[in-house]
Formats: sequence, structure tokens, C-alpha cells
Amino acid sequence: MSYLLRGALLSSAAFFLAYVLLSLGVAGAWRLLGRRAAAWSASLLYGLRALPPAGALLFVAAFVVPAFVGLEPQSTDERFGIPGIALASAGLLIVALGAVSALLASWQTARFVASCPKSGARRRVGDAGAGAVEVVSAKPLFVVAGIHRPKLLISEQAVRLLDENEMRVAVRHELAHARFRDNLKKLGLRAARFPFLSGLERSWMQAAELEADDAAVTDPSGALDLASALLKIAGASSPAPLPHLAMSLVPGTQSALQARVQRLLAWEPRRSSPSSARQRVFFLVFALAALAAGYAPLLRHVHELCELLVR
Amino acid sequence: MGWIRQSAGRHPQLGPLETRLLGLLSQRRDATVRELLGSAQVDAAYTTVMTTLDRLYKKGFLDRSPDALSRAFRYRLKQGERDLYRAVLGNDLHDLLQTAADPSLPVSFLVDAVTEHDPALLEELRRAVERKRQQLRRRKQP
Repeated sequence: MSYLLRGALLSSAAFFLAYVLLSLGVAGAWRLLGRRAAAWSASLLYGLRALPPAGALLFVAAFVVPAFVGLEPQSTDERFGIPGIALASAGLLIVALGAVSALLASWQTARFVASCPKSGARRRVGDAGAGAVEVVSAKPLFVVAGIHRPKLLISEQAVRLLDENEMRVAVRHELAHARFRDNLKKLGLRAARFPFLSGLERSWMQAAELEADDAAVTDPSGALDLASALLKIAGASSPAPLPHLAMSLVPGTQSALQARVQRLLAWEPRRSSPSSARQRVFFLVFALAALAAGYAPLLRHVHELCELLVR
Repeated sequence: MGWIRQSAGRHPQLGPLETRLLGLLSQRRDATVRELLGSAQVDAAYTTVMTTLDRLYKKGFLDRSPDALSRAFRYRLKQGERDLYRAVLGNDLHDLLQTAADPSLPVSFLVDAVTEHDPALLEELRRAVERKRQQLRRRKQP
């Protein structure tokens, strides 16, 4: 077996193991944390959800590949055992399934956007400077869809229902989703699906809505305009089916809608915490320093572990 | 709706008031008849609510103990909310899906029913938004 093929199979096997172990760890932690963690910020929840694929990739890139390149002799007659080949195949399968799932979601979203019949020229809505594609639709629609140049889709009915202030703040809410790249994050979730993590994904979605509310609202009257817009769109009809890579103004469940409106009713200016960014940088520098100190011995251990894995 | 009657032998069926009371008790830890009536979310006579709670207790959905302050019973759910809905809905849903020629049809109606927003709740929230708007206006006026 060639050196390169051995390296690729080893990386795939290590990725699979790390991915599954991290996913199970996150699922267990989520179960233990329960409702307390549901109140976390959107970025924290997404970070927790993205930990298994990102951690597994980082592990392979920062440890498995360097350990293989540095410590594995080029000419060796070592063979891959059945367990090693099975793990490597599972790793390749997970990556392939993730890629197919992400591609399907992108294709479905692109088709959805293309199928929306445009009622006329693009027109500016609100003061957010967004060119909104107006859509003729039987049901009220207020979504931002797509990843590369996300499109804001607003139905004629929604335009008729909302007054100018409500429209302005609703557009700002959807544009916040585009700015935070929430659809790209959703694509990441599609590519890294794992059972037992759907509760965490739902919590992230709800937190992302709250974060977009916070970004859209600047004063108490804006909060009431957004609450009113939510209720008008929700009351007009049941939500239309949406593609995976889209964020709708109105949540799909009644409890989520109620929670958002009540939060907007109790809106207060946010207090910024300048120390949190400094804390994050400090933590990152500390973690990198600790890693650098123990990197060489760690590589040896990883290499030994990999040898065990593939025999 | 024959499927509801068919499964009556295996699971005690619940009427609208029974379902409403179970829903209210799942939102609070426990309650007496008077507390449930005081929440203004039950539109029934005291004796009707008392009899209905007693029936739910006998059907095994509720636990009860004497209230420390009054002579009335204090009722609470016997099982968690999730177990309750599983017990009430599980088999009926199974039967429904089994008997349907196209199982995706009842599921699509179910999704529509779940995602549709309750008009009464929307109206209540709309009134709350309006009240808050009036408060804001009053505060802005000198």
C-alpha cells in the first residue's frame, strides 16, 4: 500500500473516531446541561454543535497528519487491518453523505428561490438598503434564503400587511440573519448531521432568531413594531414550507412565537461587555501556549495510537 | 373519527375539558380546583371541574393530596408531560397511520395543525403589544 494511500486511510479512520466520540460527548453534555444550556447565546450553542466536525478536522490536521508525516517511515511493509479499513470507510462515508446532504440542501434552496415568481422589478423596502425580491405567493412569506448573496423574499401579502415601521424592522431582522451567515451555518449542520443532536440544533435556531431580533431592534418602539410584524404575518396563515437554507421571520411553532413576542414586549437596551473579547483572546493564547509546550510528545502519542488503530 | 372509538378499549379517552385541565396542570406544578378556576383559563362550574379532576384521578392521570390550607384536594400530574402525551396519543396515532391508505396524508394534516398559530393566542399577544404601545406613548407625553 502506498505511503499516500496509507496516510489518507489513517486520516479518515482517525476523523471518524474523533467525530463519533466528540458527537456522543456533546450529545451527553447537552442532555446533562438540559434547559440551562438552552438559554446560551447563539454563537455558544452553534460552537457546541459545530465542535464534533470542527474538533475532528482540527485533530486530523493538527495531530494525525503531522504525526504521520513526521514519524511514519516512507518505506514500510505495514498493512492496514480490517478494523482500520472499516473505520476509514466509515469516515469516508460520513464525509460523502455530509457533502451530498449539503449539496441537496443548496440545490433545493436555489430551486425554491428560482421558483418564486417575481411580481416586478426589485424594489427597496425600508431604510436598510436591501434590494428585496418581491414574490407573489398565496401565503405570507418573509424569509432570507441562500448562502452566496442571500436573497430576501417578501410576498405581496406581507408587504400589504405591514406598515412602514414594521416593514423596516422586519427587514433589519432578516438582514441580520444574512449578516450573521445563519444560512451558511445551517449548511454546516446539514453537512455534519448526527443523531441525538437535533435538540441542540433547535435551541441554536431559536437563539439565532433572538440574536437577529436584538440586532434589528434599537429602541422600545422598534421592539413593538417587530412584535406586531411577527403577529401579523403569523396570523395571516399557517407558515409555508421553506427550504433548508432559509431563515423565516416567523418561527414554525407557537411556543417560539410567544416567547419571542414576550421578549420583545420586555425589551431593554443591551449592555455590552468589552471584557468578554479580551477574555476570549487570553484563553486562546493560553491554550495555544499549552499546546505548543506539549506538542512534540503529543505527536508521538497520537502516532502510537494511530498505529494501534489500523493494525 | 372511527379510529378514536376503536382504541377506546385500550386507552381511556379524554374529553375537551379533561384535556384542557391536564394541559393547565402540566404548566403548573399542582393546583386545587379553585386555583384552576382562578386562572381564568377554565370556563366551567366549580363542581364540573371537581368531578372532571376526580375522573382524571380515577383514570390514573393525576395524583392528589389534601391541601394544607383548605379542605380541598391538590392535584398534580402523575407522570411527566412527555409520558402523558405518549400515553394519550401514542397508540391512537399508530392506529391512525396504520389504517390510512396513504400515511403521509394524516401526517401532513398533523403538521398543518401543529404549525398553525392559535388565533386566540395571537389576539392576546396583539392586545399586549397595543397596551405596551400606549404605555410608551403616555411616557413620552410631557
